Order: sequence, then structure tokens, then C-alpha cells
Amino acid sequence: MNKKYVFLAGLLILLGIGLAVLPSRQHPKETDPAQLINEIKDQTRFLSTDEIARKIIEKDPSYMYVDVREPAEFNSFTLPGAVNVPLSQLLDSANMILLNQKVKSVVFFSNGDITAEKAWLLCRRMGFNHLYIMQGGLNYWIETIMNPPVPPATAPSQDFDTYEFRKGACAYFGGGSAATSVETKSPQQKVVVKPKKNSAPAAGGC
Amino acid sequence: MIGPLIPQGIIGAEWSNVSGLVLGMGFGYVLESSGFSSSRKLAGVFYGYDFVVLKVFFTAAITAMVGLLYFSYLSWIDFNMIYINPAFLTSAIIGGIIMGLGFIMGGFCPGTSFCGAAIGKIDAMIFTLGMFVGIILFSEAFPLLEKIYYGGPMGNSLVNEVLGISQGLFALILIVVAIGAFIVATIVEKRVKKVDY
Repeated sequence: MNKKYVFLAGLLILLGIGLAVLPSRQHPKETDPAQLINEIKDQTRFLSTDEIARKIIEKDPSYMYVDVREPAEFNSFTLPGAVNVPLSQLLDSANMILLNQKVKSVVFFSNGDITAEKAWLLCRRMGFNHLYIMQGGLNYWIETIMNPPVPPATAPSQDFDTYEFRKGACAYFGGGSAATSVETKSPQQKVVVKPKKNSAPAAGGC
Repeated sequence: MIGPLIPQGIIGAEWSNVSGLVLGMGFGYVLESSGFSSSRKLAGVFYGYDFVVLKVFFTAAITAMVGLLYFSYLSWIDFNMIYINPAFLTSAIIGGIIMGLGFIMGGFCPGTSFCGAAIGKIDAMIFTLGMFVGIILFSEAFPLLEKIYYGGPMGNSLVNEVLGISQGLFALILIVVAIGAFIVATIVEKRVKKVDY
């Protein structure tokens, strides 16, 4: 046996033992921080309440709505067809599989923005894709869809179209009293013709 | 991206292609100086009188594996960034059989045929030409072969994941297997009749 080969073989085996014994460094797959900051800044993750209302009404199958509040609040009121993934249980393996969707886009919502933002940030950092947030949360949903504000008369016609859509959505989602229409029909005014009496006699002059 | 120098910023990213070229030239130099442009030496693996191909390439694989795993442990490279070829079991087996047949018949494999052609061997040049003809035929016939080509998909899997053992343990096992193979090869070489080349 050549001494060179014995030495090399021994060196390789030592290295191999070193590898087998060393603790494995876990490099979990994480989104690059710089990219994450860019995504936070450019705000493309927000979907407005109007868009979401439209998607729910049209029964768009490619969106999944995730309520990140606690189950008590979820049971009292939520969007139709929403799934409840409380923030405290976000990292459960079943929820991770649910949220790491390759088929549907996930829309997080909560009462305001903040809890949904937390859920979005955690999932985005783990490298999940197609994550969105409902801007303003359920508070804004109730302000705009359930009680749509009447646009002032000077508003552009687009605002009136939005308002009409929101009224329709409110009725769809079971919002009780629909706000009255802008063009209020004035009650039929009966036209009474009163013959005018010539009260003053013709005075002289022009 | 030639790690660990470029990812760590020791040399700039513009050196990627240049360092690739330099490494390629180094690889060709090593092949040629080890005598890999001789078709009789290369075919010796199959006849048992010269196992240099096995030794050189297995050593290269072991060195690369040990190097990558140590660099990954030291965080000099990011192991997740390494591209892992998707494995297709059926097509790998069929392709291996075809390539082995070509190797025995021609005495070259694609890389060494360029080595031999570079030093002016006519059989190496014909081998290279034949390789290109084969590529053209394969490309033209691809619609027929597509199913076989994508047969037995296993995804971007690592061997240790498929076997269910950790990376370090698999590395140790492979090193022991390699040294065992080298010892067996040396014993076989001593017994088989030498061929003059």
C-alpha cells in the first residue's frame, strides 16, 4: 500500500467523521430581508373592501379569506366563506399547510389592519406567496359596505357608481336597512290651478 | 456564482464567467496530464486493467461533497441556493446504459473526447462529431421520446433525503465506500493482464 494513499484515505475518513458528527446548520428558507422591506413599502398587498366585496359576490374561486381574530369574534361576525386561523395558532402545522397555498390567493383580515399585517409578515417571511390584506379590516368593511356613506352632490360620477355598488353589496350581505337612494322621488305634487282674480283694477296710466 | 469567493464579496461578481473559464482550463489541464485523452486508458475501467477513471471522478465527487458540506457549515455558501438537478429515475437508467455502451465502444466520454480532439486525435474528433449527430437526432425525435425522458420523476431530491439519513452520515458512508472501491480496484488491477498503450 502506497503511503501517500494511506495518508489521503485517513484524511478523508477523518473529514467524513467530522461531517457526521458536526451538528447540522439549519438554513431555513427565508425571504431575503431587503426584498421583504421593498414589498412592505410598495403596498401591493392591500385589497380594498370594494374589490373583496366584488370577489365574494362573483364567487371568485381563486381567493381564500382568512380571519386572524380569536374564535369568539369569528363566530359573532365574519365575511361569508371565511376561514378562522387565529394569530396565536398561526404556526400550527395544519394552518401552515393551509396558508402555503399554491392554488388560491390568501386574504388576511381582522378588525383593523394590524393583526392581519402581523400574519402577512410572518407568512411572507417564510416564503409563502399570494398573500394579501383587506385594507382597513372589518371596521372599514362595515363603514363602506354595510353603511355606505352617501357621496356629496359635487362628487364625480365614479363615486356614485361605487355607492350604488356598495348599496347592492350591503343588501347581498344581509345588511338590514339599505340607505335611501340619492335620487329621492319627491312626493307627487298635485298641481292646483287657481284662477287668478284680477284684484287691482286697472289703474290709469301706462 | 463561484462560491465562496463571490457570495462573500471577496472578489466582484463580474469574475463569475472569468473564474468559470479559468476553472474549465484547469479541469482540461488536469484531465490531459492524467492521460485521459488515451481511449485505451479510459476503456480500461470496463476491462479491469486501469481504474483511473473511477479513482479520479469518485475522488472529485468526494472532494466536492466534503467541501460543500464544510462550507455550508461555516456559512460560506448557502446550501439552499445550490441548484439540484431534477431526478428522473427511468430516463437516468436508460441514458446510463446508452452512455456506457458508447463509452465502451468509443473509448471516450463527452468531456474527454474534447480533450482528445484538442490534442489532435482523429478518433476523438469523430467521437465528438458523433455526439453532435446524436444530439440532433434526439432533438428531432424528442416528441416521440418525451414520455421516456420525463419518466420516473423524483423531483429535486437529495440521496440522503431519499434514504432518510442525515447529510453528514451519508457523507461518511460515501467516503468509506469510495475508499473501499479504490482498494478493490487496486487489487483487480494487479491481477488483470496489462494492456500496452
